Amino acid sequence: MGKFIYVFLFIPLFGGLVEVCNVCMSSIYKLTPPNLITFWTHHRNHFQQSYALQIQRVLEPVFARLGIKHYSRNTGMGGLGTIQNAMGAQDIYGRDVDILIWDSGMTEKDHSPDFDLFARQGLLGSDRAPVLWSGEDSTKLYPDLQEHADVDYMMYGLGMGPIPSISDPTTVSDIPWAARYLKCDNEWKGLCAENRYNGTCWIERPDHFQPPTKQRDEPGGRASWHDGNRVHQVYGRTMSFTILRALFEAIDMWDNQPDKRLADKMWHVTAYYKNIQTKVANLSPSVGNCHEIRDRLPVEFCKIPFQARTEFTPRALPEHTSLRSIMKPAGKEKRIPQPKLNIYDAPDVYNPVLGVPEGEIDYLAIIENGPDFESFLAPATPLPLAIEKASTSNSRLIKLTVDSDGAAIVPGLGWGVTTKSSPNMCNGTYDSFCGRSDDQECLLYAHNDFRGGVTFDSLSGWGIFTLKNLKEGMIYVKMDSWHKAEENPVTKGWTEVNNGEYRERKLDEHQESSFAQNNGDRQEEINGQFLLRRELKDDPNAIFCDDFKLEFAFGDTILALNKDEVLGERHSLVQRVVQIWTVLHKPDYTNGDTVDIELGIRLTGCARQHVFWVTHIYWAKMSKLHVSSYRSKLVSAFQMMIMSY
Amino acid sequence: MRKVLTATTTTRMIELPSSTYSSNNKNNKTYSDQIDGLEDFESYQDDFDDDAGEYVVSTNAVRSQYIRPRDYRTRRLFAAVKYGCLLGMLMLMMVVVVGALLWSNANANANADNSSSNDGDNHYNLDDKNQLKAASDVTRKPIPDNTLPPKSEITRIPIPDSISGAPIEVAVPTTPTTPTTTPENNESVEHPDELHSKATYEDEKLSQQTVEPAKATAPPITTVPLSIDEISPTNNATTATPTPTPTATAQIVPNGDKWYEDDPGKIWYEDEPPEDEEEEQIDEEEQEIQQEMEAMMGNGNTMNSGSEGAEEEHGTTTAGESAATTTTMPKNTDTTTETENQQDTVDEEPTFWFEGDNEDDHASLHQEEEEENDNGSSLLVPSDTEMQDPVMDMTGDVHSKRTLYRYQSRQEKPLSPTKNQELHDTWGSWTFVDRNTTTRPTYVYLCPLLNCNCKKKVSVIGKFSYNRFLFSLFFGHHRDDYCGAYPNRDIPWEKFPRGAWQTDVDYLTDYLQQSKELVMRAMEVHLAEYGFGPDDLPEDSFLDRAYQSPFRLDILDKPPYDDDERRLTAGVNQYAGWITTKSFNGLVRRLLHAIVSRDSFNVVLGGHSAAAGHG
Repeated sequence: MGKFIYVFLFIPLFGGLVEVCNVCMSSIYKLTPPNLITFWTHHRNHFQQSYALQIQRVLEPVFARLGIKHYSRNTGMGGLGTIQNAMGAQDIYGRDVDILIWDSGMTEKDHSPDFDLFARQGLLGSDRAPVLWSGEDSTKLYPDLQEHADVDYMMYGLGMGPIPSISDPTTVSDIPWAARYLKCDNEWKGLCAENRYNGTCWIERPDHFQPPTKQRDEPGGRASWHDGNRVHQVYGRTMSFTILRALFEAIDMWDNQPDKRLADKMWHVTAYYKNIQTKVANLSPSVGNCHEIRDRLPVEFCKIPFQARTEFTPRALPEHTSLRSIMKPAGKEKRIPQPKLNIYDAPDVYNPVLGVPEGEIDYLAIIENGPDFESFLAPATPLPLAIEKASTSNSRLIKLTVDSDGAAIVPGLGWGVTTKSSPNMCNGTYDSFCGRSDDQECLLYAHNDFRGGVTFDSLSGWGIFTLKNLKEGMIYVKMDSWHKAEENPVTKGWTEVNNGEYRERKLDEHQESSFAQNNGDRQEEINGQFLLRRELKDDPNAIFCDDFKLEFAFGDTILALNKDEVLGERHSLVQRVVQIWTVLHKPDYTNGDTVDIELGIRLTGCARQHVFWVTHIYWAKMSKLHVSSYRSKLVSAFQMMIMSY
Repeated sequence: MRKVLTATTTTRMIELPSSTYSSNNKNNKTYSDQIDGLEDFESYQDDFDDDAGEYVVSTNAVRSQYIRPRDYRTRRLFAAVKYGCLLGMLMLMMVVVVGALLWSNANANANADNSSSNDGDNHYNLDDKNQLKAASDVTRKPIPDNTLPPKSEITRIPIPDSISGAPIEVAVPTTPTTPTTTPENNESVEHPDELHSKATYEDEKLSQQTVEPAKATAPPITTVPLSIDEISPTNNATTATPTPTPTATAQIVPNGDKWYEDDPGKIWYEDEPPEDEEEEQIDEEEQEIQQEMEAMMGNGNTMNSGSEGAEEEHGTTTAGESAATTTTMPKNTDTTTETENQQDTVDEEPTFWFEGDNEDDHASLHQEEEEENDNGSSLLVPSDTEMQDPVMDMTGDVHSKRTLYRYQSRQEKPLSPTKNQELHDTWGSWTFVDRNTTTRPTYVYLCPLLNCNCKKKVSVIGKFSYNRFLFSLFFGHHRDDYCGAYPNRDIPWEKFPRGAWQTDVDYLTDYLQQSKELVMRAMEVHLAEYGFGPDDLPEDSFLDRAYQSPFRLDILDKPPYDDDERRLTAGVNQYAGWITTKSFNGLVRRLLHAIVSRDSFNVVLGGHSAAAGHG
């Protein structure tokens, strides 16, 4: 009993540590009886309780009645900003985005260029030039974008002003259920805190499936800056109400047309989107501050939509946008790193905490009331552009040749992957279903975000990725360099590269000399093209062994970075823990052609001592929107003339 | 400064509209309902514990919290139908294979016995090269020799090799503006198999054709509108007993003088009617299908007469609008009128002539057309531009970009009828049902079991699910996506096919009203959830309540650059925020576009842990 009191007294003091150390949290849970946990701890939200998914919950039945398929995708990530995903927005956020919300004020507050980059990649990457939606942080930028590029934007509020505050606990029942415990007078702050979250980790399933890991009573962990489900619902309702209001206007507009016939100019969007995207791609550097990112990233990220593949989740069309999807299979078994799978299949059983108590106003019951919903053929989420183009084009494939030792470059066997279980179902929507792995202690938590990657060390051999639809010679790789030694389970027990299963073929001397000459020439050209990067400083993990070498290979080029160079000019710490390596920055590399190119990555010299994770690969395509300023003005004027007509 | 929300419904109680579309009768299940039930069954078929007599939550389904017994029984029924269909299909395939073998054998004998006089026939549907190839290769039934016309009486249209041995050949006039027939140059039709194996022969014949140039003194030519039926296998019997009709000639408008040189692999469209005529014909067929389906199912789901009238009216308008490029033949017109119409078209566009001196044959075709297909479609083909119309060329590419979607409730279980009625009495409910779902435009036709002119793009069925394919065997068609072929689904308004719901005024009158009520109802529930509903503030209007609520949205003419001004005018943190008028209009445009074009509408959030929803 004394142990429990000890925990009870000290947990509030060390609450911050709980957020940082889930291991400690697990231990505390094991030591503390459930009733005490309920008393002292604050819980986490279910993924479906986040405000982005509350928007989907509210709007989906309304849109479904109107024959529109709707989803909201929550791609928020803990401990990170948005830039790592925004750099490849068209693939990670998707190409069918109508409204793009930015809510990263805490992690990118001092990174206004990053926020500008988010907006521009979002506008250029989506096929739809989405409406931007943000909070106060965007006050300075968005009006400029609208003035110079006709960008549509909104500013959201928190909606807490009219919410009644609890001054007397006995009057709580007088407040509508949804508005309770959102605001409390100072003397009753604890009351609001107690009712801040509402979650559960496990509900018995009718199929009697039992998780192998003991489940917590409720999702654990807390952070003072995180909102509970009630606040998230208010946020979600304010945003969905705004969309509903515009939806009403749209329907009313149609209803008021003579003979219900709409003029094309009232509802067509092609020229409307093109006008916005063309202007955004050709914005002057003086507009916004995206170009201030030049000391960390090339300014092309402000102009050209980049393609990307990643193991971060969630992401759009995860089965098509993973790094594994572009990895070249290794060995005779055509091996590609495989992630864990969920331990049970969708769907989860009904979770009552996601609904409303009996007798309260039930939004879904009211809105869904009526005849059965009809099915219809809805436009599918468009595939990544590289996949779409690959099916219709005959792009030349630039294959890898030989490495710096003159050996043929073949896919290595020692690559692994660390990500959510069943990551192909991690698309960030209400119905996503990933992370139900056997080691999870809260299977109904349902959150999608995970900083995954394909893992490799010096015994892994080459990892080869095929980048399709490369038109401008720009390739960047985001990797994590700080991971612990021996963190790659695939090479456990290995003592040599690929576990010695196959030796790479040596070329003859003529080939080697030819390769070396080409290699040297190409490196020199590439090195002269790009700005130097800021070094990663004061990172204790950035100590590499003496023989360390990180190599990138593409075409007949090998970039070899030794211990002193790996965090040198080609490396950029774009944000906290966002490390980017420039592999290729030569816009005319393809001479205007669209090519597919193989990119090889490997470590050598340190056995299992250093483990890298490849988390993102970005590459550029030529944007048709990027035209000369004079032509841009002509195009814009012509489009506006058509639209006004 | 504030934009006024023009709400037409400000009370909580929303009256049910007295529309002919509206219905609460769930027994009137639509075609899509039936299909959906079958598709759902795949996910749940293993979820019923027969021993325990209970339902277990599926581990295979994507999302569902509750399974209703009614659905289960329906799914059992559909499962029986499905596997019955499967068995039937297998048997049908066996019959086809056996028939093909027999026919192949008979054909080989015929070729051996009468190789010099084996003329074959040209009665094939050229609108589907796959079908034509299949017919020539496998499934075509043997035609008795006595039904085949003499070789010298039927003209062939040369088809590029890529069309898989198309058996018809047409003369190519060097000056096609005022074409004429040259009976002496007609080539007889060979058997399709023979033609298929003689690609080089086709090329030779094409080069040997001699077409007389247009002459001012050429005798007037009477043209007869021909439909696709005229060259379909179903007309073989008529061909065998032709009725003489002098000067009967079909007219074909080419894609230009070099149609086959520019794109040899292009599918031969010349035998297809123009877009509008084809749509009319398709609609006729749809109605036939619908009638047959109703007769078969006996569900009493009759057509809405008012809607039909509206469709016809609209169809007439469409045809009239497109008269500049195509000619629509009126119903049961006499030959003179047809000739005039054809000649009008001849004056406008270069033409090819279907040269055939077998007058009896054409007359019989004409008669067959009048009997079976009185929609007046002609053999005029669209102009070059029209043939590139993506709506007409929207096969696999479009289908692959769509998915079948159906909203499924996120509630634990359906409410009781009593509770639903309570909610309906208090808040209103959605009651709109489109009873013309099965007659909406489509381009996919599959109805071999009903013998209803199976003639359209059979190949696209592979894009659909297995269950939809099975149902298509009975019910004949899929709804199709006429918006998807345009960039961003921006279909021009005049390109909506006849019968599209977007142009059905009767439909829209009720649909838009109910849509507004639905959206207003959703907003009212938002307000009521937080204490700003009509019961909470009975004296205030909807707009007043919305303005007091957390959902107050300020629509500003210009953005407030000054922070103080922003806080003063909008109170960002206290209410729902603000938006500029231009942006609001942009949002409205996007939503309107989504409604009209049946597009998706998606919201994506990028942010940090608090936005992700971590606690």
